[in-house]
Amino acid sequence: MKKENLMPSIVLSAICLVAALLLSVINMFTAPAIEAAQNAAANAALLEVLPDGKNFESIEITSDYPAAVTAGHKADGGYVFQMSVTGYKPGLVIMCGIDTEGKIVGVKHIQSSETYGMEPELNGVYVGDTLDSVELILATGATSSSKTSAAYYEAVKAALQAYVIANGGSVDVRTPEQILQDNCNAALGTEGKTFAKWFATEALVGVDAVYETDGGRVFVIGESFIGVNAGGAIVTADVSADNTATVNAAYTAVTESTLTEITTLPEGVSASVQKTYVTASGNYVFEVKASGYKHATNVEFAGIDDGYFFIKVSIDSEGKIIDVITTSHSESAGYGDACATEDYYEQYRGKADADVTLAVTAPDFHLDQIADGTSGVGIIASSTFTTYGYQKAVKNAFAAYELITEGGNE
Amino acid sequence: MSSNKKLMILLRGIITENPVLILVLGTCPTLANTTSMFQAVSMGLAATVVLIGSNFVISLLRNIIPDTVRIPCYIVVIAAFVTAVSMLLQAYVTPVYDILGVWLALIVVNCIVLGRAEMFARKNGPLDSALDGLGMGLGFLLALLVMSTIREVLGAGTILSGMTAFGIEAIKIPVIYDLRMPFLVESSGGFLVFGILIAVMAKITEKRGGLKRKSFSCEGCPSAHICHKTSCSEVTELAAEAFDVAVENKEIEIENTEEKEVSENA
Repeated sequence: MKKENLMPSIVLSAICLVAALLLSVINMFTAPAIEAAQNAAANAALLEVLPDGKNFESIEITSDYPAAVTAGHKADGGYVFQMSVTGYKPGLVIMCGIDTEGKIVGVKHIQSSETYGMEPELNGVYVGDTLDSVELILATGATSSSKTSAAYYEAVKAALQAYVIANGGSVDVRTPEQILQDNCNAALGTEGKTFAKWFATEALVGVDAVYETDGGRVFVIGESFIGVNAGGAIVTADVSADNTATVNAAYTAVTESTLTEITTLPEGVSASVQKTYVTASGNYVFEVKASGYKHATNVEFAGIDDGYFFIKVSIDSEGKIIDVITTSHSESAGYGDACATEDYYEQYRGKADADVTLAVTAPDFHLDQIADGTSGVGIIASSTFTTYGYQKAVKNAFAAYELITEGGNE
Repeated sequence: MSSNKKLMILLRGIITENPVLILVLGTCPTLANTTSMFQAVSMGLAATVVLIGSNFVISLLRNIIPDTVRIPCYIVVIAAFVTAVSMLLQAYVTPVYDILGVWLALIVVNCIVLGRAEMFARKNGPLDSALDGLGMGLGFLLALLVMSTIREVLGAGTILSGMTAFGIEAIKIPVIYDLRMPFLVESSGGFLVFGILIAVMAKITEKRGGLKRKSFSCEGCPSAHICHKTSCSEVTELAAEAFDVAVENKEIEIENTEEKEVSENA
């Protein structure tokens, strides 16, 4: 290569090299100052939730801390913890300052995608609380902001628990679901098994819930978890005689509750009722297809007949709902997805056909028909289509029940 | 070179060849950084430091840098200065770093800086180039200050806003605050003020015999190899000659004035 062709590259490279060298020297001098300035800015944020804090130092967040806690700082005036929780949407990041007496002195959200803008109000409601006194506080307009309120409660409770751990104490940081699974495993003498709630096809007297796994079942009576192995023997120690009798009766009812499919249905049963079963005791189980928000938008805006959600309803011989469950759905997160929660199922349990009233005659995209605070069985605030779809599906199950039993057992 | 010529180099950027109001360069940062006087001064000073430094270094290297790679070389030098200024501001004057935001890094592509490197520093000595950088920087700063004063005072009805980090609260100007025109701190107001200032400068220069139009050679033009070089060169040469004659006349006029003053004093 000729010299004149090489020179430009050499000169340009040399200039780049010298520039990089000089910048690295400047960086050596400025880096500590930049870090200090950044720390000062971060401390300013920490001071917002812990005004009396001095000399903030980052602390290591180990697996002993609640899962929601993502960062922590120790200061002369207390601690500041940062939590990431899920309200209506994931990514609600909250900072919580706790003084040396374990009291919350400041709460502030530093990142949020919540819909209802309740954060400023919720930032103030937990100030002064301790781990012993903290309780869930719902923001104004509680129906629409309940998930945000619950997320705030989870965050401040996690911060208070983290405070105890940071001071050398220990607290139970498990989630309610983890506690349930641990209790079930303990009752059955197993480890790491996953338990699923039994869809009740029989009304069990004295038993609140039944959980199943491949090695047996666990019956919940109040605070007691009683395990029964695959052979039908109670394996939990120190079970009272009353509870033993209750569990034995429930175990028999559960194991004998076999479902027989009814293939020929009477005329007039809604096509949305996809499968119908009857138990030996005369209870009925219906699998029903429901049209919620997903299906309605698919039809309205894309012309696609898709997006249904599916539910199961069991009705006893007296025409009352034993249990309901949403078996699959694509309803909106933060809105219609409330139809797949235990709280929602509970609204239907024990209800007869007359107790369930359709909240709207027909949902309409142009009208916000279910307002916040509207009450009734199966109503989900701001989710008109899901509410209507669920209620309609339950009503269809009742109608099918009526036709099959020729007017029920009246 | 006489001290008067050096003074001319310095003053040229401030008044007669003001980069913003006469040459209409650096319009983007001008419009974006003139909503408050503090931001405008910060931007002007940062750009001035970069202009002085880059002009000086580029002039020093003007005989070493091959023509074919001079633009990349200039960019590297300018980028190095911008990065250095950026690091120093972030370390020691964080509020200024915060208020300038992305505009600080964008000084790299400010056409005033690259323009002076190409038009002046590569043809003149380091000291003159540094003076040119200082003059152009001060011209940029002055234009920003005038524009931001109008926008902040009449648009927001305040002075010294944006200085909370230094413990200085914005001062609301009585009466004006109540009669303020908020659109002036919006983009539309920026364009309006910018246009009015250019018109005023044009009127002033018109009274003094009009603005001398510079003609530039094809050298450095990326399209030079595909355009009609002959005709372009002819036009450029004529314009360059006219410019040189004008400069010579001006220098003679200055020297005569100096001699006259000296003789009068004597």
